[in-house]
Amino acid sequence: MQKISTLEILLAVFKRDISLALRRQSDTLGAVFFFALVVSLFPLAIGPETKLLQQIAPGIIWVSALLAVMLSLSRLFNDDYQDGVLEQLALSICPLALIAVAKILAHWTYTGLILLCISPVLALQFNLSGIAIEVLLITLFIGTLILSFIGSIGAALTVGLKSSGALISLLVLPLLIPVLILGTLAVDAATANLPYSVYLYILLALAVLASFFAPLACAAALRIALD
Amino acid sequence: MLSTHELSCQRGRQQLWGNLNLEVAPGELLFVKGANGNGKTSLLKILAGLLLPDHGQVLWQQQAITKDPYAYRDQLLYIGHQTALKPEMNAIENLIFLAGLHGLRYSETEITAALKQWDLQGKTLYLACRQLSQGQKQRVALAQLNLSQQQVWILDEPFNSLDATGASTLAQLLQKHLEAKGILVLTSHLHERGQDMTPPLDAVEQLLQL
Amino acid sequence: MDIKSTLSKPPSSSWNWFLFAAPSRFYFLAKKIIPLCWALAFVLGAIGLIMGLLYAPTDAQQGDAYRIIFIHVPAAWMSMLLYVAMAFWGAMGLIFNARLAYRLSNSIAITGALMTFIALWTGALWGKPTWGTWWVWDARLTSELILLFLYIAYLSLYSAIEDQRKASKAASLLAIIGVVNVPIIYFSVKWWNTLHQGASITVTKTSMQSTMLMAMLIMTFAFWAYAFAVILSRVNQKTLDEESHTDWALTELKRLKATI
Repeated sequence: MQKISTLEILLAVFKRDISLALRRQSDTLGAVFFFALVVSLFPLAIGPETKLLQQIAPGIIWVSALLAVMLSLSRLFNDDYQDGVLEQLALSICPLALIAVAKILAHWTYTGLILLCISPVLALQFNLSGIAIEVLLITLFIGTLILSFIGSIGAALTVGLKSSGALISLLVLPLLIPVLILGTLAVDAATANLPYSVYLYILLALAVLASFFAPLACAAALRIALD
Repeated sequence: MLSTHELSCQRGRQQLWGNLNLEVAPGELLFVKGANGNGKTSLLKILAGLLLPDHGQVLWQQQAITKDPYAYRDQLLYIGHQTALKPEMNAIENLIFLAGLHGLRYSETEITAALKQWDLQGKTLYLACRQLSQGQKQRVALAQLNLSQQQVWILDEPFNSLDATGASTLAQLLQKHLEAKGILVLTSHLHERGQDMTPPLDAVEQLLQL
Repeated sequence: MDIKSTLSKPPSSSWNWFLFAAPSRFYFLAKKIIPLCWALAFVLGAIGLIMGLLYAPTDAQQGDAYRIIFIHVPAAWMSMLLYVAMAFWGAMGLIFNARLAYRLSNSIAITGALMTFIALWTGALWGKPTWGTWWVWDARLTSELILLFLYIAYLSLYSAIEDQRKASKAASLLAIIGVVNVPIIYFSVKWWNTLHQGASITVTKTSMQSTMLMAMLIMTFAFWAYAFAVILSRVNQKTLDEESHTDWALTELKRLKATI
């Protein structure tokens, strides 16, 4: 028996969440397939005209990514709440807010990053230019991180509620509108050969803000739920 | 020493109990009795710091636990109604994780030895916890006690789902803990103390009827 | 050694810092204020509407249709003010664990949502004769729409949680998070609108005469008085409902039943 540091505890939480996600492959892959499916629905609904699709592609991919991530959020804290593990997390010598960070980063890894991997393929379906795809990937990289952080607040507020899926989206999507706007503006700017880095910087700033404040809000919401 | 000052608890619009002034010194046991719904679990959760009391304070070493929660949590082991075992992980993985939350790392050998004392060995240890019976899960959860370094144990109905052997193992563990100057807070919904603890614990006992 | 636990009345507001945080005192004070607020709302509303509809000059570009702004702008201002107030009282509730603060915060929510709805509706009514369409993705209107979603989110979360205390705490936390995000949302929507070269609904600055401004201010105060009246009534209703086990509330309920 030996004592371990806070960092090692967080690493253990991170690894555990990833390993649980791997054991529940159907859920993890489900989000990815949902993403791909929703993206494909739009051309079917709107028509195959290349120019139009090229124009709306960034918006479609972004909104679909948002929805796919929303789907996976309800399990973030609910499972631990149902088993009683959440109580133990709240009693850990490691601050609950830091544990939330570890869980959120794990969530990003098995949701956002995976979506990121297949988005180039989907972007090609819409004939986006090389630079546009590049910027799309960068914005999605930062954006999905923000999504996981802010989404976790919604998950924490609704922990223990039945059918929290739609409620989480209702709570969290309005807060994610700036991310959506900045992400799509960046890609549009890149496509039109205009400067786009300012949008990326602001996204980064939002990511830093979210990563600092969201875990605190999460911890507060989780303690309210345990009350 | 664990103590409370003017503690009161309200659930919904009803006050369950109030004006509680407790003192549990090292080596002492606080046994909380009462019918279901009288607030036993709420008391234990408040003592553990999971719930905020409606009024009053919980004190550890004369200091409010809200002032330095981490110092208290370092010395606290709380086992509630739920076993806190992830159904997808096996017994060993679960125990390693739970101990890790308390800042302790155990080798697989140490964990296996602890589980052996609860009559769990061999293939059972590597099965996903969802495949274990309720009694087996309870024993895995209680194995945390064997591994514990904490001074304060707060246990909510630990004798649930245990057979006579299990109950005896538990009683022995609790006895050892008290002899080592540990603090124990316990609830049981069974009526008379002594009925579910065989042999009865030999310690300074305080009985709280809610 | 047996310990006794006694059921006791929680100490009366000794830990509340505000004089009128005691539910009974607040109730009777509010009861006196409410009729005054209604009176103020009607009087100011009448003055404001007469000024706006009859005396304010016709706009150079938009004709008489612009007069809807005397309802649209005050409603919009109130919707934003009420959200901040809701978040503020929610924060007070969380910090001081004061039930009255939570009740106040919850009571504001519905009125705030109503104001937002009125602002959006009148915005559409303004848009139709001016721009020819029922809806314009104007930066301010879009922000109002998002504000409506924030109110709906608050109300949904509150009603989804069964335990009232938990619901109040969770909803208050959400309101605080929302209030912090509102500036970020507003600026990004503004940016979105300008960069996509969207339309903008405003009265041109040059034609904003003092009469128009006066009328809008008076209407805003009228809305404010209305909001006070309605919110305080709601708080009182909730107080009676939640304190129905206390003596003063039972007496009051009996008195109210007798007067019906």
